[in-house]
Amino acid sequence: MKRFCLGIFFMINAWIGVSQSQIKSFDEFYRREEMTCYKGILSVYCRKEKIYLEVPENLLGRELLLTAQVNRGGMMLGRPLPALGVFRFTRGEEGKLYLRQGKYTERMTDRRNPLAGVLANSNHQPVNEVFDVLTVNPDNTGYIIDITKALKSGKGWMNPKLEHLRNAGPDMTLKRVETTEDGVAFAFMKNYFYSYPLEAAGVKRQEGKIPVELGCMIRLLPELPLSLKYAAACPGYDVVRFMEYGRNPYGVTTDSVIQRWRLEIPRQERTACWKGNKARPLEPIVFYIDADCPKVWRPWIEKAVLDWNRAFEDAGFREALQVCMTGKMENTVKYRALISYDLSVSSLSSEKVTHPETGEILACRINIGQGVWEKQRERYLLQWGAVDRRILEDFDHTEVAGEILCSLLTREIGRMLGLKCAVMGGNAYDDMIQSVESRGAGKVLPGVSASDRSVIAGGYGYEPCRGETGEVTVRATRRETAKEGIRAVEYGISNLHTVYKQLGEDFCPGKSGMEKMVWLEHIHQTGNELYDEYLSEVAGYMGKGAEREVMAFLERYLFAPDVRWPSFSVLAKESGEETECERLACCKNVLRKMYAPRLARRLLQRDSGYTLHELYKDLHRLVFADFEKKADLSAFDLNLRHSALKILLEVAVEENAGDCDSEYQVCLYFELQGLREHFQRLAEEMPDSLSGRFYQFWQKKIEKRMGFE
Amino acid sequence: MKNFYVVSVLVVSFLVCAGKGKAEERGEGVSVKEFFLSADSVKCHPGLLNVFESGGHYYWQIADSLCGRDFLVATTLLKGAAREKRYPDQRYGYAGDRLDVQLFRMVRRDGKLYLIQPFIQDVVADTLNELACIARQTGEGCVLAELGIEAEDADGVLVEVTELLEDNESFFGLKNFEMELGIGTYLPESSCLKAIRVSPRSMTFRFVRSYMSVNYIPDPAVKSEPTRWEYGVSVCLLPEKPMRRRRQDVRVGYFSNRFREYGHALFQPESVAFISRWRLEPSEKDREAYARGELVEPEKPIVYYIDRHTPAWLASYVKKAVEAWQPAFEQVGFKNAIRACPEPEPEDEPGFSPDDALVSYISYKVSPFGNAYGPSSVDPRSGEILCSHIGIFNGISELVQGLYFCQAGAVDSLACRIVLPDTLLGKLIQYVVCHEVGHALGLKHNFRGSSVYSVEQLRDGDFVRQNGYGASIMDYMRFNYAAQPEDGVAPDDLIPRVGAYDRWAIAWGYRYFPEMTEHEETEYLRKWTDEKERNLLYRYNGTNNTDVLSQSEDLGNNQMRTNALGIENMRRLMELEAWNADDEVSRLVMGYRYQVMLRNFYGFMEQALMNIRGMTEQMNVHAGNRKTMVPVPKWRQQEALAFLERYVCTPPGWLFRPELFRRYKIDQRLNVESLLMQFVAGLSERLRLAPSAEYPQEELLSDIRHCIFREWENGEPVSKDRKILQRFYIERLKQIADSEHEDCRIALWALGELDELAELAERYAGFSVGKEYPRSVITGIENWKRKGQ
Repeated sequence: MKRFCLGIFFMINAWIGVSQSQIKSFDEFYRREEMTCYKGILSVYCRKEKIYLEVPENLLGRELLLTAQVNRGGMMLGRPLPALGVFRFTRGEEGKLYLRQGKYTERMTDRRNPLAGVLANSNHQPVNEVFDVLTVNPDNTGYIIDITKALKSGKGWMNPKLEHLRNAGPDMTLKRVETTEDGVAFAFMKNYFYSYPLEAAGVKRQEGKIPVELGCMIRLLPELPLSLKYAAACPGYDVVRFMEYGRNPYGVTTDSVIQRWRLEIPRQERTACWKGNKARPLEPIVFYIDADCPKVWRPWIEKAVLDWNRAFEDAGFREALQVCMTGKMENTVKYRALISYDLSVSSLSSEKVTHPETGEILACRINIGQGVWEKQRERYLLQWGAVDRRILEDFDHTEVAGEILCSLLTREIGRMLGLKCAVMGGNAYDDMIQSVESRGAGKVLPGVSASDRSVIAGGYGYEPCRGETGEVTVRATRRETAKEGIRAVEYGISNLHTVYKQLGEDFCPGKSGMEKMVWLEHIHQTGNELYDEYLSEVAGYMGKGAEREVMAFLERYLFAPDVRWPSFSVLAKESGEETECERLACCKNVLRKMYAPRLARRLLQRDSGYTLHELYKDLHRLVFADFEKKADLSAFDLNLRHSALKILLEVAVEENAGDCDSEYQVCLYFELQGLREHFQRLAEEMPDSLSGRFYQFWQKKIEKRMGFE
Repeated sequence: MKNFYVVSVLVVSFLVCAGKGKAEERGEGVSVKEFFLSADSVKCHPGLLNVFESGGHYYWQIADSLCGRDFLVATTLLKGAAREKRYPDQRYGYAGDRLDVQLFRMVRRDGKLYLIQPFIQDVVADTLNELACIARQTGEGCVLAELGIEAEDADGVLVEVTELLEDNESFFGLKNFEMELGIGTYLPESSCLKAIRVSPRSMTFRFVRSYMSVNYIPDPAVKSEPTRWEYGVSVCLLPEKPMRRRRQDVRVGYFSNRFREYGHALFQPESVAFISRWRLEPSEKDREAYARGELVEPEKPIVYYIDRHTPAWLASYVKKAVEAWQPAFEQVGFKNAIRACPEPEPEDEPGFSPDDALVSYISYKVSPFGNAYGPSSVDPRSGEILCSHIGIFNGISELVQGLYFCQAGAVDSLACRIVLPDTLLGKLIQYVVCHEVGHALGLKHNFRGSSVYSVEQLRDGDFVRQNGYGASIMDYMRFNYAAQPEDGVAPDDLIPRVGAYDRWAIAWGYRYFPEMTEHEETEYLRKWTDEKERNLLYRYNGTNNTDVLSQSEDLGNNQMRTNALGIENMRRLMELEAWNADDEVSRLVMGYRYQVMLRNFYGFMEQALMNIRGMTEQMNVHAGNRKTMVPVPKWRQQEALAFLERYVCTPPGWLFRPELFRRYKIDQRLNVESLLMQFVAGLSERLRLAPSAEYPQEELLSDIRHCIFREWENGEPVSKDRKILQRFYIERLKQIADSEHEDCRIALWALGELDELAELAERYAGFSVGKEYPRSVITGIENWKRKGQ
């Protein structure tokens, strides 16, 4: 009996082995019932839930791209999912197909370099997956492999894990397959566990399943790789970093190429382009707007995209960016650039897929969440309400909301075009204005700036990057000069006061009574944040050549006893709203900047101009009122001094000021010693007052922490 | 052999496919009769759905008219499991417990029947709004179960539900209640479906199931053990047209259900809340009479059944507790709107069962837990309360008798009996049940309700008889301890009752406005609330315990004055002979009462402490009736300090009697030293709060100094207890001076106060009463200063 069982076991194994190694004839493979074929550049065969891909012989070794997204469901639309990215199929051993993803972090750009071979030997490219060839197509030009598991298991080519929904099981149901001119798109239905977020009193929530449609696209990439543009020559871009072995004869250098879309000029137009004519790119960048995106926002989204065309014109392209609408219920994964309205995103979010070697941007997704309105409209009201009556008259003004969306989206699209976030921040903001006449309503928000245009020209220009000749300058700061910045912030503060006055007195959009008060409180909180930002921005100009102006500004708007802090008279009058806490919080932020070691070192390195000694002197005046003897210091004054001393002492301890090894340490040491002497005197002069006790407290604390005798 | 294997596989595959094909075909064209044709036995339970039993399999036949309709599922324990250890505060696990309700909808789609949990509170239907369109893509609800259609005829489709009924994770299992019941692994081998009862309005499945116990509070001494439960799962159909919703106003304390309205949303869905309330509407024939202002009976009154296991002497008080709300409903125009009746005996009404989803029930449980609860289950579409199961633990008797003795014993001599007469205990429990019924009617706690009357009013027998002594029974308002023996307040007026706020809140939630649109109704109610909330009687403050007037278990608008009277009553009680009684029952009862006295005293102290640097809510009519928190006036803070000086800083030896601690084996954490420690800890917390301009910190510190160190100022000897108090205080001041505060002056003031105390100690050392103690204090402060700075 035992022998019989063993015999059966070996026979089964042998049979399975034979069946696996054998390639079936195409007829044997295809003649099965219910097989559906989708012909295309990458043909797909489906039988029930099985999915087979035909890899044409001529595409072996060619690069493919796999992207994935949530198409719709669970209040999501066009939400990107982590996916395989760029890969290629190659012929493997024993008639198998290998899936490989190249590693490009170590490179030798000059392949003639004698070390190229050495590098290659230590950079053997991996095989990521092995596929059995099930059959070959009738023309013997393509290999058919089973990709069911890779696509549907959730562990292979796409990762369907979502933040707010729990995976209900490993498998997905194929919904549809669509072949396109450059690949094939799949749509799957997948169940997720979902617990309804709202709860009724006394009713238990039970986790159930909801279906979500996922999309996945395999796309053939161009045969020729995008030419590399080095980041050093084209500043202002997100980059792909790598180690370059060929440049430094003794070692390695770190280099990077910029991330950008492939924009090519048709061959026949190249000459004209050299002469300065603008050409339509062979393949423009088309941003698709999801058909479910509310109609009211579409013109603004379109504008945000098309506004960038001016920048591309500088690079020699016309109509480089285009906008189209997707069809209703389409499998939108097939679009390379998609903008969707997504109810489960808190604000704006975006993601792009880039080629790991060339930095070519291959796809991108922008999701507009509802939260985008909440804070931004409040900020707009406070920043621009003084010059744009529309938001004062109607807080829900759709045109204003559209402009806000357009401005934010312009920035996000810039990022999706490869531009660095910091550069965008720098260029996209503009000066505060005090009157709308100079620009007209609707023009106050940042859009594509001259600086952005020059960055685009540098990265996308057909001619060799103009940046190399030094023509492109990227402004990294918000304003041209610190003085300009201070002036702009002053306008901003003035605008803020105007809005506060108007809101407090006669206006509150659609609200009355208690609701109005609650709303005003909320706005007041945003106003405080804005004021804090303004002051921090000005404090940030320290060390940039306008120090005296900065200190004068801070005195006027923050430290002076009679500072006019933005507050709603109606709140202050009726419920005693106090602003000292907020003012103190602002002071702390500013003081942290003033006492920052980085600023101190910067000032010390200077040969002329404002010195560290002057900074400390100014702070003695602003914070400590020049150590004037005053027994009844207010709560604010005491807390301001306390905060300043705490920050300074923390810095001194962290910087080991007591070592007195560097100039900065010496300065800190003597600053604290000077303070201690002042405090000792003041404590002796006013022994019984709270102020005297304060000075005594800090005198002892400084002595103890600094080890002063 | 290979061929043999291949052939075998093919044959098996063919058979499987053929079988499957047959099964798939069954739903189409197979009638229910045909489906059961070959079955040995089929039992049908006709009713809401036809439920079939056949060969260990269960089927539901669902009429087309029920597809798309919403069902309520209620799980009720009929027999709780015996446990090796039951925690004293365990709330669930007893017979009669209604574990939460759930909701499902039957949807027929793609040849299958789905049970889904509908997304009712996302209002997205009937609109072309684009946000709603996106929200709609989430679907109608999450799928809880997917059932294949087995057969179909004119009476509906037949689906097999055996797996659904057996699955512990479906709503027929107890998986959802693991935490509440302390259970884990399901033991199917010792579990079964015991009975099925189907009626035209509901169907109930009774299960007996076993689970291993799980101890959710880690305790190595308690091992996991098998537990056995009997419970019923009742499914009933919800009305097709939900009750009209009533929008929440945060100024009236109702439980609520939140909705997201996508219908007109451009920026974000509007979030709105609707209150939970019973559907009380006049019948069609009474509508006109109702409109004329006549009292009418509601079409569907609220009926509670009282657990037949409730002690006979108590049942009538439970009934009174329920019906005490009737006058409130009469104000709204409904008579007999709420009533309670005894649970019918099985022989009288065999169809009755407490596990029926729509039955409201008051169960009585034996447990040391001194509590009761009153949840309600609502239709989330409308906030309609569909049923409610109130639970009374017998441990509540001990709690209320102890509190009544402590707070009212000096006025009502009956309270001093070791065994209270049923007539009195019944009334005390009646008040607790009445509070729980309030919750079951949708009302939330209102801790503002006990602080509306002055001491004079609380002591005025006529006033209290007419008005009660608080505005709301939904407060944790205990007994009228302000009343003194000489005041002539009747014993019945020492117990809380439904108050003015409760009656108004019921009117606000239940008045029927058929002639108004929903918007008009909301506006009308808003204006009504605007008007009412000007009067303190109708003010709602939830459980906002930052307001000194919304403290738990306090009484009157000045806690110092009422608490002083409460303490006088307690002092009288401490003179009773009963403290010396030696029999076992007296020892047990008086021991518990003594503990209540001590805790009550601690409570009085805490309430007074809250006044120091306390805040209270003030309504500002000029700012849109906005309520803001303002500091408690200085005179009141000083009054609190005076109270604390009199009753705490001078330790009350009459209460903290060591012989009673020994006699009743009282926890030492309640002794006088702990009292002082807790007082100083509380005081130091108050000192960390921002001072008001009216009562500067230096002045407060100086007032405290006069309280705690008066012997030092007067050159008198300090008692042992007072030395403890003084040392605790000095240590706390050091802690304040050492720590970082939002306002740096807090530490400086503490520092200054320590200097003051050192100076005072120096002076005190000059007196002849003893030098060592003040010297040790000075050395302590100096050492701390040297070390700390």
